[in-house]
Amino acid sequence: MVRFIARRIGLIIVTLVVVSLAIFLITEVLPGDVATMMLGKDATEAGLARIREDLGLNRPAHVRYLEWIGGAVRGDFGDSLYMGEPIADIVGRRLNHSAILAVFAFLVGTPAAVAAGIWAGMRANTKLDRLVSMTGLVGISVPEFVTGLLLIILFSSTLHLLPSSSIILPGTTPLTRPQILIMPTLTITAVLFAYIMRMTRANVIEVMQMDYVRTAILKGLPMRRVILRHVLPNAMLPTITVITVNFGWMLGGLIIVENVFAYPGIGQLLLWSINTRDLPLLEVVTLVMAATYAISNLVADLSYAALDPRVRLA
Amino acid sequence: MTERRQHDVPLLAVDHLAVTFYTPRGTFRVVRDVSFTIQRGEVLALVGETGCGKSISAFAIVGYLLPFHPGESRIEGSILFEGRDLTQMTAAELRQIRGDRIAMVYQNPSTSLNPTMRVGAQMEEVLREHLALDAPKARQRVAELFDSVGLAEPEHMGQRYPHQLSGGMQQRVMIAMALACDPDLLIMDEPTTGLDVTTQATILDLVADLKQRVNAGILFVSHNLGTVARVADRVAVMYAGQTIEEAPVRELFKNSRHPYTTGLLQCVPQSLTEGGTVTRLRSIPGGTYAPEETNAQACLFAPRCPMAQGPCHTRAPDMMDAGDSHQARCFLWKDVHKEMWGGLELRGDDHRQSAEPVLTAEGLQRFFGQWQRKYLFFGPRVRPPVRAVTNIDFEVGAGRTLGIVGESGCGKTTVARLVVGLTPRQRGEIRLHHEELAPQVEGRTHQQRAAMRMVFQNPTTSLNPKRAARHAIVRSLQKLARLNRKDSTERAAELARSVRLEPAYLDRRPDELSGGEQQRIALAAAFAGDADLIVADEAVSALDVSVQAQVLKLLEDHQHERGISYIFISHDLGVVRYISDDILVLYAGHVAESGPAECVLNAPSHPYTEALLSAAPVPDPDAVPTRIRLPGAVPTLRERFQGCFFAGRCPRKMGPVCDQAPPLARTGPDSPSHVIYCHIPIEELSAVQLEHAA
Amino acid sequence: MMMVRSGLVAAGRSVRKALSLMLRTWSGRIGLPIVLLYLILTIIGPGLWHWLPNSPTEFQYSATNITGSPVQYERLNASQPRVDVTDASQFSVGDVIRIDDELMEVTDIGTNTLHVTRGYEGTDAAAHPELQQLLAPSTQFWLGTDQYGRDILSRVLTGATSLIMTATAAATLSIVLGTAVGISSGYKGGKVDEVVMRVMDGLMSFPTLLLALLVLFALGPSRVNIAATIGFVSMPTIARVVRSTTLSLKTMEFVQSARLRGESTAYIIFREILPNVMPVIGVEASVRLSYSILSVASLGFLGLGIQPPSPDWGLAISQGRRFLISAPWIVLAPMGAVASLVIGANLLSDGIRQATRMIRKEETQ
Repeated sequence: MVRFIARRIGLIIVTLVVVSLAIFLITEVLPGDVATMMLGKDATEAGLARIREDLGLNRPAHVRYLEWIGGAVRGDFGDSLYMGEPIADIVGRRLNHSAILAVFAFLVGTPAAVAAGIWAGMRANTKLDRLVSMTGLVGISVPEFVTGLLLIILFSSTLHLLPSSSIILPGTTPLTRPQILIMPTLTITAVLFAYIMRMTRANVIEVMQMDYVRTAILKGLPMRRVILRHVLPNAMLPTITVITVNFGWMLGGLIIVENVFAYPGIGQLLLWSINTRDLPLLEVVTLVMAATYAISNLVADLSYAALDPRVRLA
Repeated sequence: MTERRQHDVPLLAVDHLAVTFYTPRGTFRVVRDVSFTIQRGEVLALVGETGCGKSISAFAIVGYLLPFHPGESRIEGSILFEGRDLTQMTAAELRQIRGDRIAMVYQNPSTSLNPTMRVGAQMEEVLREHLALDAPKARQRVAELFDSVGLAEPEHMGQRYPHQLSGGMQQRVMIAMALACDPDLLIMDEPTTGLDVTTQATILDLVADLKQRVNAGILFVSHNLGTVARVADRVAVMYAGQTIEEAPVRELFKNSRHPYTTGLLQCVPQSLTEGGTVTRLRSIPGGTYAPEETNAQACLFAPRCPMAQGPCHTRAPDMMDAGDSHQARCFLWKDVHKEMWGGLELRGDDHRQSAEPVLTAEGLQRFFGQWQRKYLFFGPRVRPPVRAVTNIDFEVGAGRTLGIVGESGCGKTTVARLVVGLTPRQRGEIRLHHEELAPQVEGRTHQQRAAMRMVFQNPTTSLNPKRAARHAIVRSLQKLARLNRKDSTERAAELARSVRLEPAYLDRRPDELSGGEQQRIALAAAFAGDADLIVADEAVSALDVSVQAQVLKLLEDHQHERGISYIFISHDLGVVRYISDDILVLYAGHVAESGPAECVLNAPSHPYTEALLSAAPVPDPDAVPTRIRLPGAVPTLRERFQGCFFAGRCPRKMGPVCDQAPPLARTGPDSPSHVIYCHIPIEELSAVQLEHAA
Repeated sequence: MMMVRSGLVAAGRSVRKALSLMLRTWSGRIGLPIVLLYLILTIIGPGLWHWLPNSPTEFQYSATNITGSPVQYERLNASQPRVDVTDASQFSVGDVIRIDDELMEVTDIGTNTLHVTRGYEGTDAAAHPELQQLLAPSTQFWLGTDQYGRDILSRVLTGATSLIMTATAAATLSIVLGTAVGISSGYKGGKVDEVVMRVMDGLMSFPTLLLALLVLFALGPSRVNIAATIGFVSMPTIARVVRSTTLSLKTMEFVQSARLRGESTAYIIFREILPNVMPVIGVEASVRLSYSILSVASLGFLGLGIQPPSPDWGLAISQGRRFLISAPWIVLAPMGAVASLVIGANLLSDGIRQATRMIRKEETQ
């Protein structure tokens, strides 16, 4: 088990190094010159030269990469070009905001989705089940920005119940005004819920056809026990993988949802850094998002192993 | 007449049971008319080929049908359990009976146990549910039960997960679970199918032992006449959803009164006659009656029956009393006799003489996988490769058949793949007609590929599901016989006829053919290139006995006409014994014994061969079971053997020498080509087996 | 030739079978018409504005004081937007002019130059009634007009073309790439397979939208780039599925038989394996299509999608949401369009999946 974890952590580190290299390549080497990208087509030669000097772009790429990585390992990512603050501080704060939103959405969405999936899976091919899975299909189809804007039209402009934007004032946290979390959470949950529900349902249906469930039924166990002890643990194994895949999807969804509600999280920061061409910031934000995803994958593998003795004891 | 008292209510009485499934794709009448009774302490075997409805009948007893087909199902007739009709019970009543009064053992123990639960917990569940035992009592009872089914370390067994147990141990756990509440009726659905032959023997021993120990009725469902002969008191034979004959086991095997039963018995390869020759197999022509068909006003077996007459085609026979508690669903039961499927012929021996070997293999070796390191690319080497085949020699004579036997994991399939070049060998030489063959098939010449063909185990995957059946044959003709399109189409029709198929079958897609038809197409494709040698890897193992006999006959006939050679691989000793001239016994990637068939099968033998012979079920209720049983399972092959490869399971282990030195090659007294790899001297090997025989 | 034809006939038969089975499921019955409708729009979309009363990209009702005046412009950058004109005297400060699809307000007048503010929107619609900005749905403009005074109905209808074309190109690319990588890597096996799959894992260990944003940021958003990026980013999923199918097919006896009769690798891959992978690819393709539509629309919403002046639903929603309260029809129409399209595509893929499952069940029984 220890070896398994060590191996996975090693893989994550390798992944992150590759990712950082890739980001570095994409943002610094590929399209000509950072300075031109930052200033646009109208830039003067003098302006370009000054930026190149400031960023140390005149030195070879590998030196800059190593310096960057060296800083990153020490927690020093440099300063943002536009905000003038240390990148570590900005990213830390924004990451915190996003984490609150994500955890909120996950806590609301996942248990409900798993429960609904089991419920529907037990009633496979009945009218109610078809209704639920059809709704689920619609749920995964509607893009986040559509759901989000519909919620705003409904709750803000029509019912005047909730604030239409989720701006966080400096010095406060999202929890100071928790009502700003409601609509973003609902938007993320809609997709999350639908997807996890559908997958759980499919897994439950599959496990219900396994020989060992037949054994359990023919042992004369009550249906409740058959489901809780025999169907659920086995149906949850593949569901965990689905939940992680969703975590990656949710990171993408966060970019959109935060944009819709002007919620100052990591996703909005990413778009901001793209729009302002704040390269040092963009690099760090991307790396942090990739790391989050990688870690969530590790967590999934570990929980899979914890539930499945075939992996745990191998 | 019988000792049974008439007023006694039988434990289980199934009367005119019929099961129909209504699915989106049509109506399936899987069980049409099944009747039988079981008394306490009696084993009734329900026998039949795939699709005859025997398992569905068994599951209908416990009211578990829906998962077989989506849609609706309907049960007709009655199933009286101690006089109460199970088909009329509510779900709650059924639940109380299941697992408590009626318990089941299933075909696949590995999938029938919950993989995420410890086996002890899975057993305790039953005890708590039905007997309301508290935790310590339940645990103690579980240990007792494990002990009673012969599991070692019963106190600790419960802590294990199913994947940590071998197939045989898993099945013992299933049996222990079924015995947990002292059931009155035990239903065993193909409990030994899928297990290795040596494990199968130990499980059958256990079942035979249960018969003495528990006071329950046992319904034993099986397709294998050999296992039935070993455990049953009475036998009910099923065909096309009907019970067609029921009789005490000896009576049925000696004196069957239904043409189908008689035919079935003669499809099983018999043991050698005294002269060392083999009687030829007979087979039942045609295919089984499809469950989509409605009940015809006729005997359902009539289309395949050699003695069917007028009334057989116009009236449906009922079960008729044939005396001595013997019943048969046949108008002409009095006329049924052994020779009705053709007289006894001895298998010709003329083609067996051969001087020239077609193929010789020397020092074949193949390991799978590579050493794995502790941390991906670094650290000590922790996981060695699997030593699937270690140093194997053999040769195949022209016009002769080499049979390769052994349990799963002994390396027989790997040997086949090394020979044809699907898996490249790592060491050793293979020569075809004295020409060295390249390790991989891609490196061999066109002539070499044409000279050696292969037939595989699984008929459904042997043909491309997206292509018409002709594809395999036509393509072989084009590539190997270098025929053009027109000629190959004509020749394909000829080949189809040579495997007893109408050429029209060639236009069907594989999923429109039965398993036997698919396998015959595969055989026709193998015959396409005029091969000198055909490697048949478990080519008949997936087929029902009647179909298996058809395919075996085709192979034999082809050999007779063309003088080609076979390498015939099977785990079924009976089949290998029937078809082989020479036999190679493999164990754990090593040759245990090799030589002419009659020498290998008679004394002196390698202890492993002895165990295999003793484990093979014989379709004869009077056969005295020789009780040589192997403990444990086939080793994982990741370690190199320091001593004899068989030392870990050998019932005749001599002592430390077996663990320290590799076994010597000893030549048998009967033939110079009979070789036994064992530390035990030949004289002793002969002597001990004589003792067994006596 | 005969073999090819018989192959095509067989393929046609199984497609017909799949189609008829699919139409037995609710998902297929609802999904197929929706997708077909949008496909028709895609095909006739480019020619559509000849028939529509209001053209999608052109302004029907432009500021009177610039009609007919020749306008040239060289450079429009964010800091100093200016427009070169031949005769500046025709303009006065406060006029609104249009260039391409953009409205600009004249702030100052030079000799041959107009200084302008870009992005003149309907914030002050009342000041220029002739621009017909932010009009509510009426008999003339069935879905109203947007902040630039454009007819929303025609924008939405023609917006289908670029979105579906781009998404289809992306899906096709991912299918073709994924199938090629998956089959060859799976069939080849060994070290090559291991390396390829590690790379795929690496690509997958990255949230796809994030990767797409980065690549488009570097390459610049154009239709080709968007299609290429989304196609490439979603390729690993398909490669994985196809590979695992190939791995199990590879061990099947009919493939081994083909090797034993000496067929070439190309023959085995294309004639023996590929036909059996097709059902899997069919299901994946439909999933990919709806996923690509979603991605293209999302990128559009984030401003990295199809660029103006082409009508794009995502962009329209993103630009129109400032008027969410005063003129919700601006966003509601494209929102409905994108949602219904993705729902339709997902229903269709669900129908296909159910149909192939039914076929597979029949084949195994």
